[in-house]
Amino acid sequence: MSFVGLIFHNLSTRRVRTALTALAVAISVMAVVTLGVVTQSLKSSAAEVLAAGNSDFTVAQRSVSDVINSVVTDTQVRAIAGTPGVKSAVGVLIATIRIDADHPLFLQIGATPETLTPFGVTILTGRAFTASAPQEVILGWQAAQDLHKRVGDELVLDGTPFTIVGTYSTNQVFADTGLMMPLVTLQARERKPGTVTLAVVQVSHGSNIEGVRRTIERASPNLATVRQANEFGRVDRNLQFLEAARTGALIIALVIGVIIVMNTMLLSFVERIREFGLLRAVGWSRARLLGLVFGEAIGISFLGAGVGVGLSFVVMIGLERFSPLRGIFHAQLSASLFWTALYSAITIGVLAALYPSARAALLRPGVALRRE
Amino acid sequence: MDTDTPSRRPDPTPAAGTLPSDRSVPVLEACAVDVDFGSVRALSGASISIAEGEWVAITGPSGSGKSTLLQLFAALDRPTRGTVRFRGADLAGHVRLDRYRRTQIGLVFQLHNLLPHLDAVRNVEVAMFGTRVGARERRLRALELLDLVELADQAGRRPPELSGGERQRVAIARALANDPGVVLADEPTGSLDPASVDNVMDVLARLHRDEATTIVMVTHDLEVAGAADRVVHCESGRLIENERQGAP
Repeated sequence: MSFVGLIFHNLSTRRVRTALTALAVAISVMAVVTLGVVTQSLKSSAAEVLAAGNSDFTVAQRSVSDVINSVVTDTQVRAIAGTPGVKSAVGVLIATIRIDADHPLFLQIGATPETLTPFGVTILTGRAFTASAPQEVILGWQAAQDLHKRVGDELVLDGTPFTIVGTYSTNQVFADTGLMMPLVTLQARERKPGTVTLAVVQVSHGSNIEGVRRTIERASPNLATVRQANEFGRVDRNLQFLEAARTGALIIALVIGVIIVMNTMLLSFVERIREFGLLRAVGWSRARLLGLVFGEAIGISFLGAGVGVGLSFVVMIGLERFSPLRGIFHAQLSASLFWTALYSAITIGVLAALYPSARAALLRPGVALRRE
Repeated sequence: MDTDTPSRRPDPTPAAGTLPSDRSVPVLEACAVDVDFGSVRALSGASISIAEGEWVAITGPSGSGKSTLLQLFAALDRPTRGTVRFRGADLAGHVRLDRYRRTQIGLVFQLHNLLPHLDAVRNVEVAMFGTRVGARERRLRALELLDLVELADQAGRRPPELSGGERQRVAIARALANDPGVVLADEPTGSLDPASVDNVMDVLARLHRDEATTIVMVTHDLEVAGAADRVVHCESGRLIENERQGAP
């Protein structure tokens, strides 16, 4: 029997203890993984608003609480379009509307028909809306599926009937679960005449994108340009808050996990005092005893990580079907998810084993063997 | 920092049926040892010297301190005052007492103290961790030792599936795992039926006779003690009698 074999033997012959401890690890891993996926999904959804279109970068109001509250005036959009090196700048207005209980934050995008292509819109069925027909909308393909609507159907928004003249795809979940309508129509409905939420900018071939960004930000200090995902926090403070909340929640989940697992391991330690004393009595060194306890903790951590990922899947499937999050939360599963689970589980297992293993190693064998 | 452990016995294997000739070097010594457990004095001024290859029985009533003395020899506890020596070296000076316990002594406890979740062969193997013996060799050695105590056919059984005598013999096999020069046995026949007592004593006698193993055995059974070369009586923490078996 090898030392590793002894560790696995100990775990397999004490199934209830192993299962309960692994479950405690799994619950913490589930919390960590699910929180990570949820916040990442919400960040991605928010970021998709900014990343829409075939743009080199997006311009929005600096440091608003939510990017949807960003206000960029038509004058500013025209000024951006006139900046040296800018090929095109199109303004889009973004708002949300409640359609029913299943769609409490349905996305509406207002744009002029000629900006649909620069915005990355591909018409799948029907046609695009026309500027002269204010009661026309086009539906994202996912929204059309979700609402069971087709071209020619009617969609009522706040009591106003709109005709669906086409369906579209942008290859971005957030935009494809909403609708698009003429910019002026949405500006009128939202009472935001002359303003948009974002300006989507394409730079002329050969121009220095970073230089163009600096020029725009110097000219309009209340605007911020965003090119990469990690810059989204410049315009949307919610993303920063979301990230901070996620970090805080992860720490709390880990601490709770460590406390629960340590408690379980301490109970196990008390139960095994004579065993540890006996192992010391037959010549085991402190280091070997530490190795046994840590080895068992890591074995339990692996088990907990696997179970935790499984539980996370179940929770995420439930969240995706949870109506307030439909269209906003899209579980994105990746290899990093498994690494996160493993890191979390091993962190919990090792931290939780520190105190019990130290106590086991420092036991005087004679004292341990006298314990009933 | 590792302190040099006293060297193993220099292979004092005698001819069968004889005692080792050189008894001048004590293998274990306790010198004016006191042990206090809180306000209770378990041993008081205890002194004893045990020679190479000797079989010493320590008798006395419960609570007299005889097991405490054995625990001092096993370096499981420390004396409050006085010194305990192994081959002349003070055990208090050993940083690596685990190595001393692993390589120099074998322990047999009254309550078997086997690990209940491990089968007999694994209980023996567990004492060999930390040595340079590989896993396969450990298994073979453990099976040999179980054969020595006539339990080869019980190797796959866990302690709850063994009788008291069988468990004690597994414990003896474990004590011999690293070929120690000294076996310390605390009530090895306590709570055993007469047939099991005979089995266990037979194993110890063979060890003493064939391997010249030094045995220090704590027992309250005077008949069992009669198998030893020397009987030391312990009363109220004091070693008050020191008689050699068969002395005129």
